[in-house]
Amino acid sequence: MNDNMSVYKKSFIEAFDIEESEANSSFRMNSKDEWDSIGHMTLIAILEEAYGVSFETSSIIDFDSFDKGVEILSSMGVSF
Amino acid sequence: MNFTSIRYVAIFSLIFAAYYKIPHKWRWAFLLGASYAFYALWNWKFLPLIWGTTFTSYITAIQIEKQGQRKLKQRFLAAGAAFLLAPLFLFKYTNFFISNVNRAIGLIGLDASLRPASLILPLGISFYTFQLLGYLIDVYRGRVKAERHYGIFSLFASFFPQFIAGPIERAGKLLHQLREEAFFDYSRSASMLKRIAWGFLKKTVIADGLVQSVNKVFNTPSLSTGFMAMAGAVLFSIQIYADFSACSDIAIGCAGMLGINLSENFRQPHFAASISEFWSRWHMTLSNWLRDYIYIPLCKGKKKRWQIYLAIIATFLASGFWHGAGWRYLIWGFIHGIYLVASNMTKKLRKNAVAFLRLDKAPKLHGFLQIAMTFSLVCFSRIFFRANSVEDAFVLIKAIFVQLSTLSLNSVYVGVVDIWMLFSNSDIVIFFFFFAVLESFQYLERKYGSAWSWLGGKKAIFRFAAYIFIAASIILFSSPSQSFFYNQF
Repeated sequence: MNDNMSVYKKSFIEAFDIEESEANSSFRMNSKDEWDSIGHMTLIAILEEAYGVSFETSSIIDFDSFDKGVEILSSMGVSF
Repeated sequence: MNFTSIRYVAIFSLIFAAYYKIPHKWRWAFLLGASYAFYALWNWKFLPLIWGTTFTSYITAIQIEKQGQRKLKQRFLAAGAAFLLAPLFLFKYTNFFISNVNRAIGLIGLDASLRPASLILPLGISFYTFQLLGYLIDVYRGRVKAERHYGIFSLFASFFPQFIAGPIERAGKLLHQLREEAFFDYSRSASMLKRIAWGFLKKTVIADGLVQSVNKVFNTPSLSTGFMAMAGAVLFSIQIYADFSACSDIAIGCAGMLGINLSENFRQPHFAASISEFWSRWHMTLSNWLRDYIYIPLCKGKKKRWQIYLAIIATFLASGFWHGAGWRYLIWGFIHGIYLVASNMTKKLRKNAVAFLRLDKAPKLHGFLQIAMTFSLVCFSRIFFRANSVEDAFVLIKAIFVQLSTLSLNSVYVGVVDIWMLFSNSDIVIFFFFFAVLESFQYLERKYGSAWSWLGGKKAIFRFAAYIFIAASIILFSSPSQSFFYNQF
């Protein structure tokens, strides 16, 4: 696992207060109670700080799963 | 004109009968004419307002798209938003503003007051304003292209099934459907017809049947005991769910019969295990709208958790203000904001409490307690939502606390009798019977995904018995027709 993926997983664990084993591809906004509005924006804030990026509003809206986040961050120049 | 009126049913039947016979290139004009005709039947004087709003949004969206510079796009968006929000503020909030100015003048001892304006709230104004505002923001963000076909756009702004009380649609979902040709599909139309019938039953039998009982509590709060107030809040919650979800069922059903998919608005919200989950199941199109167009922009760039908490509270205050021009709606919104913040702040504490009480070893009991607690909190907030004033809400809340502080076996017995007195003898039997029907339907939806699919797998005689039961119930047990609760917004 590269550093960026490790940081990405840690961000999920911190934002949603979940176990390490839960931070994976199956973690989606609509299937997890922990992924609420506050958790969502906490995650965005943590990721912005961790990678030094700034999400567009559209990207924040589209960010609805673990995998989608990887896709969005990749498009912003973060390599996984 | 109400969705459940004979007139609406007759006119919609004619529209449906003619719709698929009309060449595709003229269907938009047919639906647009029908949408304006429906609105004119309610109050033709507001048609120019809809035409003006539609025209302004159409032009503004194209201008936003044409601009190369972000600043210019922003200016056009701000101008468009101001044009859209001005009628909403004028019709909905003018008297709220005047009454508060008068109160402030009275507080400083001056003897001058502004006269309330004589204004009628245009039907559906909060819904179509938000839909069009969302469209302008989506064009600004580049999520949708500005629609160039004026007729199609006018239909998007006034499509009759969802124009008055939602679902609040996104341009990305609805516009292309209005453009594409829809073909008659028997099974789809039949399933939508069943959904409409189920909506009729929820509205005319359950929601309208509860109006008198709920009114007894909320219209004379000083005569209500604590038990009556608690029952009133619970009954109102059932009433408003049956009413609003029925309105959405009928809207989705009518649009579906015309080959157009509208968004779902409810997912059994009273079975939510947390307030956050409640808001992902109740009035979903408004919740998503508030999240995407108010909450996320408010949070953007905010790093501290307290800033996110403030954004949540501000978003729920906006939700309260959207619902109505009154302090009780703002308090209702504020309460929900506080619920969410408190729930987030106490996450770890609650997790530890669950482990300490060993509730994690009994997940079914834990789940039941979470649902019961969420439903109680929602009912409590709705005292403000339904009460005729903030003062009335506090009278009812006080009665509840007094009752709970003097709880005894005798008071519970008297309380049950008080609650019974909210109904007539026949009403209470009808209510409990149809409430059981509603819960059974919801149980089937949870277990099989769709109650109708489950029914579809049964023998023909059983299916037809169910359809006859729904139709007969509507005919025999309908209460006097009431407007849909959300039509007032």
